[in-house]
Amino acid sequence: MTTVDGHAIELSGLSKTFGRRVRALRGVDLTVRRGEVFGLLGPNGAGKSTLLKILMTVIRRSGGRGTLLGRPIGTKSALRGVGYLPEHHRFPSYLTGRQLVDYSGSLAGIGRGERRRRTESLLEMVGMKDWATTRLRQYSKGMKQRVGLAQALVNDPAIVLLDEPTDGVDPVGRREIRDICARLRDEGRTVFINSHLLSELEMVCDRLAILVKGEVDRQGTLDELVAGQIRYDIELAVEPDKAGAFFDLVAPGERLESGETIERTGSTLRLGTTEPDVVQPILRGLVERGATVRAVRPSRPSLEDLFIQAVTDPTTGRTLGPGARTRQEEKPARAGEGARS
Amino acid sequence: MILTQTWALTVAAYRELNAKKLFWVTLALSVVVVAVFASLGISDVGITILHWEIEVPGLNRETLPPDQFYLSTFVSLGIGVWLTWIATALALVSTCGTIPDLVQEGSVETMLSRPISRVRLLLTKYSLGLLFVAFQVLIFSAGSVLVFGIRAGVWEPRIFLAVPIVVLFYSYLFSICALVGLLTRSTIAALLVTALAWFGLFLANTADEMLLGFQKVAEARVELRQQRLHLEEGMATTELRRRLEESQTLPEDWAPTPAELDESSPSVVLWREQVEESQSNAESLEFWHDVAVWVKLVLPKTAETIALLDRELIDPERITVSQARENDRPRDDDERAMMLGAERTQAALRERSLAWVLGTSFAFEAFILGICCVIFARKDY
Repeated sequence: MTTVDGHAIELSGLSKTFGRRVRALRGVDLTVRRGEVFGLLGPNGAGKSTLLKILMTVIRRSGGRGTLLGRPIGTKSALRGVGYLPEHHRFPSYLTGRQLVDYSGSLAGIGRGERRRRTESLLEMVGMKDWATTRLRQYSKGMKQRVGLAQALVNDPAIVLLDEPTDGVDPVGRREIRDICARLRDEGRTVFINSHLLSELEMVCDRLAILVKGEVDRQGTLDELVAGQIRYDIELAVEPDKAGAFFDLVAPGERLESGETIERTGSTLRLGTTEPDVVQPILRGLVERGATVRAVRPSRPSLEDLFIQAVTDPTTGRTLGPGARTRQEEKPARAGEGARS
Repeated sequence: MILTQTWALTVAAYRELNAKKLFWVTLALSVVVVAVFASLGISDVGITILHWEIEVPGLNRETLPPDQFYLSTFVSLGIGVWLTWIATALALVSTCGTIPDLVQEGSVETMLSRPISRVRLLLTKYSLGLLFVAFQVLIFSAGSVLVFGIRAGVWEPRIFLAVPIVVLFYSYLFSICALVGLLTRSTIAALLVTALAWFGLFLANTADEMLLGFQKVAEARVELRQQRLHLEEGMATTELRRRLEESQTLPEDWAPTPAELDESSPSVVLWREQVEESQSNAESLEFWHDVAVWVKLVLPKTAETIALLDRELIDPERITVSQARENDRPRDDDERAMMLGAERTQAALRERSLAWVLGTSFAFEAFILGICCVIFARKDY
């Protein structure tokens, strides 16, 4: 594995415009640290695959700059230490799994002996050893993903870019791919995952970025992203219709006197605060009125909640439609951004 | 690294062809064609096919020596029909997917994400398509050399010239196929447009050869009619002199004016008109042939490239002389003009320079490949 100093990926003001109209990326600033699993998520057409393709020299950037393993993006030399699994890959169907991994290693310029050793070990790692001599045309989607992952790792990369790696893979396979990602991180490699499967990203990623309409809406660790959004849930051991009466007595309305939000869901009261001192009087009031409290627990928004927040227009409350932003949308979008901030 | 990558692409190209089966089908058909050659022979009365002898008037060992018979058969049938048309069509079907497959979504990302330059990737893929054809022609030529050696006792290594010549011919078409494949990403479109272009080149070449043939026949006709006119003028002058000398004495250097000749002999008028008519005809044909040549200038010379093999292998003197023995003498000037025109056309075609045949074709191919490289190097996938 190639070792490099600095960040694995560093992008500044990266932009891509297709033709004159479609602005797929609009000044993306992104930093991926070495040795972390980084997740990139976003709705359809947000520019995730475009971003990956720019990193892999498949697409040329329109503006901005960046480095990949310390080398300028868009240069072939930057690709020596990179592994890549494209989203809609179409590997030659006449090759066997072993031949595909070996072929990929050859294109990466790896010598024969080393290539053979790595091919066998990677096929073992992705659980395809028994299918190594079967042609790809006979593989299922999940099996193709597994050998695709093996071919992405054949050059012993310092960074692996995986575009929807669990697409078409069964739950067991997904867990195995997550484990592989974790193992790669433990080996000091950087893993960059582009996926729609938020729960999986949540499980495996150290840091995340949400891309919306070609811009990074937010990025950081999950804790950083949910900072200030911790809630307390108070769950009563009564029927939901009776719980409502207790809640009306201790916390009427939609906000506490101190301003925090109140949400009611069945037998659960959710308080929009991270301060235990705010929760205590409510809790005491419920107990004094004879309610049996089953649980009191802090809760934080899921990645899905964050994602929905990111793709929801706060002024209209509507989720943004799929696809990149066009120039015609620029002016209204900017006006919207002003209102949002 | 470059060698490792190139070898990997070569092995992958072989596996792809192997998977398509057409590679082996074409090779098997080549062996069949060589076997057909082996079954042919020439005897004292005609040609032989295995044990059977077919009598052909004017065709025997004397008029066409066995070595020339086999070389002619190799050039006209083996190259002219099998390799130029059938094997080329099969090769196009086999290889037309090379570039479209490379740029297919899902495939191109994997290839471009490796540390190999786009131009090198494209040109390597292109060259591997040609390598397939070279291998096919090599097998066919080796089989042919063996057949000629065993059947005619002639070991003719020049037959291997077919390898570079047929590959060159194929490369012109394959460059068009590559460009269309790159632009459309469609194997079918690449195949169809290449077939159309091939047909277009065939038409251009046919037009060139036909117009050249007509022009040469017309020029020969002008010459023959001029000879006839001179003859008629001589006869008319003698007759006029004889008539005038009956009443006066003419100086030695006396010569009639054209008007006097025309007045004295209707034949002179007739032949002069025919000379003028054929001259006008020849000039018109020369103009249209020049147009065809200018059009062909920018196009690859498919037929002429293949004809280079004919030039190299066939000795025209031996065939022309032997055929001439058998042919009847021409009955009139028109037949003579046709024969002269045909001979001169063949001579003119054979005299065309390598710079014309190969230089302009290379220029076309380089231009098309240059466009391919620019497109592939700049395009977003």
